[in-house]
Amino acid sequence: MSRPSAGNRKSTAGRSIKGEYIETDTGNKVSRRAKIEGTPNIMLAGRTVIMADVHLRGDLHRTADSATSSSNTTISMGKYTVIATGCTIHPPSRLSRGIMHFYPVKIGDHVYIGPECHVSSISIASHVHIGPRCVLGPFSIVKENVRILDGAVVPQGMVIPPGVVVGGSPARVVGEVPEGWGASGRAGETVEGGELRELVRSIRG
Amino acid sequence: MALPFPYTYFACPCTETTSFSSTTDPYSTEPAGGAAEDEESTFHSQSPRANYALYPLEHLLYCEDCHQIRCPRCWVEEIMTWYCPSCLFEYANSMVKSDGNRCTRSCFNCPLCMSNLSIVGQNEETDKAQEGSHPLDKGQQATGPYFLHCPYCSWSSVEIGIQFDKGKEIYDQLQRIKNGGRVVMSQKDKEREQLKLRRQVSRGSISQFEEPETPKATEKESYPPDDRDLFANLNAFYKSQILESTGGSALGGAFGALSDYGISSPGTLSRIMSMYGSNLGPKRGKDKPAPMREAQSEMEGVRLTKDNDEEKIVESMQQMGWDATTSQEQRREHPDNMDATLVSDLRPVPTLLRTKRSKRCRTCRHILVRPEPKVASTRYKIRLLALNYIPSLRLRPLTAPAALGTGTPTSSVTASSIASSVSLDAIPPARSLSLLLTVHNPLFDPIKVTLATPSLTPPLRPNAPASRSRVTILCPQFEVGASGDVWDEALDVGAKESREKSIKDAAAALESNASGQKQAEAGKVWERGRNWTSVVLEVLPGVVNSPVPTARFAGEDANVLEIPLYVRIEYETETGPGEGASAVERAAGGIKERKEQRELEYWCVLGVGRIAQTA
Amino acid sequence: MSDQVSSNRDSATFKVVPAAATVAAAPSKRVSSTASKPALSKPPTTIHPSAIVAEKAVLTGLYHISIGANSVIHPFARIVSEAGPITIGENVIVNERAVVGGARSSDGMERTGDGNVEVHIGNSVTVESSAVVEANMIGEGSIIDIEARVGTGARIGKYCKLSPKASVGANETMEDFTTLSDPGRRHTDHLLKCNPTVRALRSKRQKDQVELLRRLIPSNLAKWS
Repeated sequence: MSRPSAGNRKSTAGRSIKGEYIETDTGNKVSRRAKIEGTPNIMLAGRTVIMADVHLRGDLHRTADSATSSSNTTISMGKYTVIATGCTIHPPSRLSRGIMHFYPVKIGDHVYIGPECHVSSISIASHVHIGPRCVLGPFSIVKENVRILDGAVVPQGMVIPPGVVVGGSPARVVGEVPEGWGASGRAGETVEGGELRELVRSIRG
Repeated sequence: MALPFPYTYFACPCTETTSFSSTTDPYSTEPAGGAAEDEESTFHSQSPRANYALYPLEHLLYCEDCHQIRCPRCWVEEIMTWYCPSCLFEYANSMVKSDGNRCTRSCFNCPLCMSNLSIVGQNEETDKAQEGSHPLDKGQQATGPYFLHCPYCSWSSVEIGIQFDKGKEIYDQLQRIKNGGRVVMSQKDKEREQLKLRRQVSRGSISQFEEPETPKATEKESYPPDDRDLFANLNAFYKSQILESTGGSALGGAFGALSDYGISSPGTLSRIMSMYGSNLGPKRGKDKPAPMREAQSEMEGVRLTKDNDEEKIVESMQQMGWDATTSQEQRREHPDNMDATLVSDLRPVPTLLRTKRSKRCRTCRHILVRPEPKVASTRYKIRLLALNYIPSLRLRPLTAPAALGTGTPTSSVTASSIASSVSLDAIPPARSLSLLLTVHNPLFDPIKVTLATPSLTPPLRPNAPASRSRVTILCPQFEVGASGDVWDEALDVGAKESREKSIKDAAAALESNASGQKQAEAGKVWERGRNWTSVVLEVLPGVVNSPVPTARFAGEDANVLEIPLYVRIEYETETGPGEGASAVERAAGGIKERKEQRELEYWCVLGVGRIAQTA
Repeated sequence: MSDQVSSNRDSATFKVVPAAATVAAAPSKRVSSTASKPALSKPPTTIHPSAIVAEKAVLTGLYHISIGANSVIHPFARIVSEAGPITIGENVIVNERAVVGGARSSDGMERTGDGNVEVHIGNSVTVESSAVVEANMIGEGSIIDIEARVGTGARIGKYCKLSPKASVGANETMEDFTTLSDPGRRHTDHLLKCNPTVRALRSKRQKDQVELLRRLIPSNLAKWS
């Protein structure tokens, strides 16, 4: 499947005219009230939901003189990923070989980011559930099947191993997700860490 | 418990083997013992013990050999892989045995806030700063010296006077540096030193307890040996003592083998032996062994407290204040920090390793869960989840008309977004409430479900019978269709018909709903789908008064309406080819021979919500 | 967005307000003046030509706002001078959603204290996303992290850091090199305190960051002149 950038969304929009969400050909649902900078640098894999008042800083890309000038993607999101209201995604920056760079934020499939979170991670794997009001510090890495409890503050550079529950400020591992993480969803329902198909489908208008 | 309402917890049947009698239930209004002990007893959802028996379904496993639910109490875990959660490096078992259960590379946690520490390089020459990196950078390009720095609370190893020459292998470097920057002697030097000291002491014989007035003494005073040295010394001392006392006497020689049996208190042993030994015969008196003595000096592994030690601590506490002292949690984090009174005594905590574990049934030893050993892989080779074997139960209030017809239970993520006229956080007391219980069947065979519940829920407070809620299941017995591929159903003509019928039913339900007339009837299921069935529960919530501050059990959950529910399922299933009768017998006996009747029963707790409290 | 009439009116206020601000603007007067104005009034500003103020940044209020050389105001950052004048130093970065100065009542509360409604932000300060800075003084090189709050009249020293969600109450002070983490724990950053090279590196990093942002964020100073 092709991965058209959100930049095309305005031209392909038009399925829904007055609703809250603009739906693209690949099924991305982007709220009209989301505040998106640098749309050409944001890649949505399809069936991704971006809710109202989400700030995406796609303008903070790697500068042209860097080696990877071919792609300027700053924020990429996988399928069935949901960014809830009031989130901020701000790519982190640091020096590399004496030059300051922004680093892209990569978010996997079936990731739910709760309301009012701040994300500066470089990588969030798939099937991650992030509760409301979390702060994910610069260069943090979140592996697969992770649950981040409400209000957790993940410090800069922290690596969250697969299959754990983290919480607190600063965040630390407080437990493990059960073997059945994300697997308890029956047809037509959504559970934390599971597939978010139904949730994405249920968001309309 | 932290799940949002409404929730369902499952009680593992293994809790029945430990007595759940009313004697352990402080809330019980029934007389203790007697009738409550037998099979008739119901599950006490309010019992403190229930906390240890109830699990969300996704936490439970299922043993295919025992045909039973398995919970953490009835499985055993085996460690497959050790890995560092920070650098995700896998440690071999042998490394864990020799080096301990902490990351021996460069992963550390802040001794103050337990955040991960980053390695910070400081460029000495300013002209090199051009190609250097920011100090908070991970240190790939930075040049030394290096520090550990906490990105969260700004603790740094500067505070304890430690800096590193290299940005790698921090663990090894740290091992050689004491707080304050003093370099630790290597093991070889240490041994040589000790040997020298020991000789001195033995020459000095009686005066061994006095501090020798060599310059070494002053050095020792300023840098007391750490716990590891002391332990090594103590170990060496007692070994030598055992050797002396056993090897030095005939009796000790005779019973010397005893020390090999791990009698770890040779002092007592030899004392007892000499006691009885003296009675054995007069000839023993002569070469009675010198009784073992206890360690008496630092060299022998005893830390002697000096008079002014505590005064010093008190003094520094007075000077630096509360913030300079360590907390219990900080001290507990690592053995090195256990004696640290002041923050300046703390050392960075090497990251504790985590494990990947497989799980076995405690009863039959069969493997229930076996993840792939690689850290990066999240797949399982074997994973017998209970939710694939036992029906799941979903509860929702039967008042939100929008959710009708679709028959899909509310999702946990969107639960809040679905309009509901009943707030489950404040259920009006003593007003009848209808709940819809949906039973999903994950099995490939249709199941017969029997539900039961005590007509009154356990009291929420001791001596508060009014807080008991009355529960009625309108249809306690029903069938749930088999699970299976969605396409099976589409291809099967009979099923197609029934599906059409169910669509018609749903449409009818919608119509009747439009006029607001669909009524729950006793003995009839509310709705039915391919592999799910919903029935209606009528609940008359009890009355809960506002908590009395002095009440013993009036905790934060003292107004949570929980319904204990007994679930019994029966189904017929085909046995595998290896099980049961031989092929010939099967051929002769027909279909019935291959079928096996199974039943499964367990308790659940349905958390409905909080009852609004009356003043 | 900005019609000629309102900007004229603002420049009129510009002449009046500094005098009022120096006498610590009697609260009654502030109330009446805000009541008579729409919420998004264009404030009088002095912005250094090398500063970067994004098109979508919001500068609003009645009092004077001054932004120093090479300072970056991200899109959707808000500089609100409704209560008093705001001075932002050099190489300051104010991120999206951050509020400097603060509305009179972001949480429905009247700002406390009447003498310290001025806001001074020192050089090389970083105000992260969703932080709220109503402080009287933020010292050089300090970091106000995500969702941190600094109350009115608070004075933050040099090279301080507020961890995410940390909060400093009204009129509180923080000494130089202090880090405040969320549960209210204060700790001195010895690495910065004892190490001038690390401090130098940090300010260099800030400058690098500004230069990087200069290439990425289009500035529109004309909007505020």
